Amino acid sequence: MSSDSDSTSTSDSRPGTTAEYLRRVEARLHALPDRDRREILGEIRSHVAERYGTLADADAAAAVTADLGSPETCAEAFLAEYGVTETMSPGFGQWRRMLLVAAGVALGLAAITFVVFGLLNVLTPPSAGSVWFIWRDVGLGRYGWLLLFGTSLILAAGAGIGAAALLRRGRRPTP
Amino acid sequence: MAILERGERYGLEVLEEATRVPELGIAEGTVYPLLNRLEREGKLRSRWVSREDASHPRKYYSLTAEGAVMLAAMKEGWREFRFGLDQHLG
Repeated sequence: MSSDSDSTSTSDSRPGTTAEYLRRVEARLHALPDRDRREILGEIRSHVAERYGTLADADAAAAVTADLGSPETCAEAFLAEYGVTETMSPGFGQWRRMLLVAAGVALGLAAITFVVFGLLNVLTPPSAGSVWFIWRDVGLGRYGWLLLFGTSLILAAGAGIGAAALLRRGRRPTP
Repeated sequence: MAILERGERYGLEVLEEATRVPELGIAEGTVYPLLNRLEREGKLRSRWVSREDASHPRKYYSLTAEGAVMLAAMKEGWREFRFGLDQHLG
């Protein structure tokens, strides 16, 4: 069961309050899936209420900072357990990931194109007279095309694995 | 994990029991992330429990079968390590 009272938006996010502490933790956890982030914030909120519930809010915020560290330190301890070490702003981290995925996809598509044309040049008879004939004019020869085919295959696999790793890192499923 | 072997506990209980032994040097800020990871790895399970006498729910943790197996292996490893060390220390 997930904590239903996890909403982190609160009207009181002034500096030095527990709500502001949670808001800063949440901002640092942007790389984690929503569900995981809510769980973590729910846990911290429960800890604060349980342990410092009798204190004035400003005192509770100071106490939680003393115990769990600054919001940034607290969030980074969770991120480290996820293998996420980036501490960039949410926007930059997301855009960088999207850019890398797009570059990987583009590289993969280019590599696949070479693979297809390479295969066609190797497999089709010289007398085929098709559009692929243009590619034969490059003069790579059968072994040249095979080399290109192998290299392209490795590039395509690398791009695919890299893109998948980036996506998985950004949206790690919760067991 | 050894604390949870004795039964279901919520986060603060685990934290308090873990920090009761100062020699372990457990920092408070490390307990919740560790519980979170063990849960994601399937070693622990958790459930949120709402209470009528409190405004906030508690997240209770317990060992899974996989976690119990891991704990048993860790205990065995520790015993062997301690035995080996004792042999050297005399």
